[in-house]
Amino acid sequence: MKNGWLRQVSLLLICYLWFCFPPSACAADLVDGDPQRGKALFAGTTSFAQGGAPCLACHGIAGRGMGMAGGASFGPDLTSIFDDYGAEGIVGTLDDLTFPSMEPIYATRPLTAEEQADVGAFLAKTAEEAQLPTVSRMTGHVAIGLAVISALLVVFGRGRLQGVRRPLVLGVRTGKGGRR
Amino acid sequence: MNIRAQVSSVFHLDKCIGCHTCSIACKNLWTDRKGVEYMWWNNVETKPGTGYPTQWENQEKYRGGWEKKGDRLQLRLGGRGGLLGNIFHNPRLPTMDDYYEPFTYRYGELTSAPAGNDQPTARPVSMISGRPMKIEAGPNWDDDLSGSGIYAANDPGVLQLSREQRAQMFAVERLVMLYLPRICNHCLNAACLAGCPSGAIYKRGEDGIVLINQDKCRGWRMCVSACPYKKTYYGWATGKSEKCVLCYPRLEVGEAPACFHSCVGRIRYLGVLLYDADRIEAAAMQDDKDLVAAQRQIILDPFDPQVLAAAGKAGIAEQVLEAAQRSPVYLFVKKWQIALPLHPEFRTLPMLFYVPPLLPVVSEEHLGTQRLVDDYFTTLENARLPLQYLAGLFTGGNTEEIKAVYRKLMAVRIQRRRITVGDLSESEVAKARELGEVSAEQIEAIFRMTALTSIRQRIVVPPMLREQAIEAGMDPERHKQEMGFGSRRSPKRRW
Repeated sequence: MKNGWLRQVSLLLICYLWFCFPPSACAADLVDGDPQRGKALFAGTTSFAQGGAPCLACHGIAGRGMGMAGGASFGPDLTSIFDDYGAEGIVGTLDDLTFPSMEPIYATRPLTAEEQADVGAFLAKTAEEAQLPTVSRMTGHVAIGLAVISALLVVFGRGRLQGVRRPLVLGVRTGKGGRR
Repeated sequence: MNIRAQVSSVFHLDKCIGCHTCSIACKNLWTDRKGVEYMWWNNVETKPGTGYPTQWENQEKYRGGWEKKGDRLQLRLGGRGGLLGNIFHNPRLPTMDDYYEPFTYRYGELTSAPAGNDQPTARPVSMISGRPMKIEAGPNWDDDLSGSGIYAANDPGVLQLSREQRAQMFAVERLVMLYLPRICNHCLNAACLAGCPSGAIYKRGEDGIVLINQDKCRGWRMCVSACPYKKTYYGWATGKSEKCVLCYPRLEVGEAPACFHSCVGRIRYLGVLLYDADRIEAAAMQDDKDLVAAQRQIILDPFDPQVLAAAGKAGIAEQVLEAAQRSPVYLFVKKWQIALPLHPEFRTLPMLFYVPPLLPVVSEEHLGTQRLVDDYFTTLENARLPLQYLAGLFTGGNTEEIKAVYRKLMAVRIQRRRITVGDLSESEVAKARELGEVSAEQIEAIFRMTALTSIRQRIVVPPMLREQAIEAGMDPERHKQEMGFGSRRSPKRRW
């Protein structure tokens, strides 16, 4: 009994230490990564060492104008992925990439520790710098578009369908139109 | 030669008394429904007048009918591109006010009003909004020249006359009017059909009746603009356009169309005409003044053995050819040449013909009564209703054509006057016949067909031979077992 109690406390302690100082033996440290190289890897100008497909093949980064033309729309946009996942999440994810659609590609062609660090750093920098179009800005654009279309409709549609009888009667009464 | 049969008609305007019984018969039979209250497939208007809808003859506004573009015909509404460009907002339509806002009266208030000091009244209410309204127009608002300072004066036909002619026409105690009953003309070169983007309008092969397929119609309303007579209408409840069907269900059982059947003045004649479909385009391409003659030319003689042989080859049944030989329309239009199409210059080759009225042309006001002017035979140029006006209505502006008709009609009057009144000499009658280029026998025949006919002589409905039409596509026994009255889906929006 006595030993069991001690073991439980020591296990908790280890868990706490793991939580505070997670081991980074297999995952690269983001601080070491170079965002420039990360960008090249992301866009595919530099190939991954193991032959994995570049990220941009499926993911866009709208905040940097990457993959905006609609080609990179297979996976979700990664502009703010760093904010969502946090450093640990990014590191873990880049390490094994176990998403159903990615696993078949990257299980046999994993990213090297250096590559993980570079891409991770790039994503961190992206989330920091990128400016996503805000909802209010988009609403403004939609409103302006609608206003322009409505104005065009009014300009070209005004007086398109004019009556005959009423103007005729009014014209005769006021002596302006029609004939008497 | 490509011979086809057309059920066509003649309206004798001298006999029309403007009672609107035809309109009411049609209304009760066909357009007594929600969303079509404003429609009058048959309407009677007063000329001079702006008609229904207001100034329907003004194609500057409505762009109906055809125009010559180089060596081909084009819809005045525009080519395919123009139609497509306007498809979501066609500006060439009559507004509701141009037809008229349909109204009824709150009759219930006459009996249900609480006791009080005032006589209860039935206020007019709009049949569209249900709210009380001021009635400002109706389908025959200019009836008997009411409001003639507005409506008669702005008749598009009157506006084309010279200032002197207008002044003469509108002088006190000179202004005259005639009634003009109008239904769909079931044209040979129908513009409504050509304008339909959905291809929903067709001309029946066996009798030439122009119909709108209620399953295919998508309510674009191009037919409403394209028809220069404004005889297709948009049904607001069903989202489909509708038009006069010449009561084809009645024709198919040998009955006259309702407006023909109910006509009090017996002005309506119906019969089959044979025509050459290969010459339609050439006839529609003639100059305005030659259109009437060209249309008359493509109508064929049902007694000509060559025509009969070609018609037989084209699949027109013998019974129909026999009906064509009894057709009163053939007599009026082709043999006597006293019936004219309405506005041939629209180039749709309308197959409803009018015998122009004689009385408004040659009558005068005398001590408060109407009578014929004394020397009416020589005063055609000074006719009470200017001949240019009538030529604008019936001959595309060709006054010679309309004069020829009037000379014939006068010769009939003069010969009959000699027989019944006896105050004219034979030499006067002979002179009239010579000027009218009509024989004494023909005059007698015209007189009899005008005044002394039974309904079976006036209205010669050809056998429609539905059983043969059914046989062409389906075993008649199976049709009898399976089809009942035919497949029918009620017209409504299905998209």
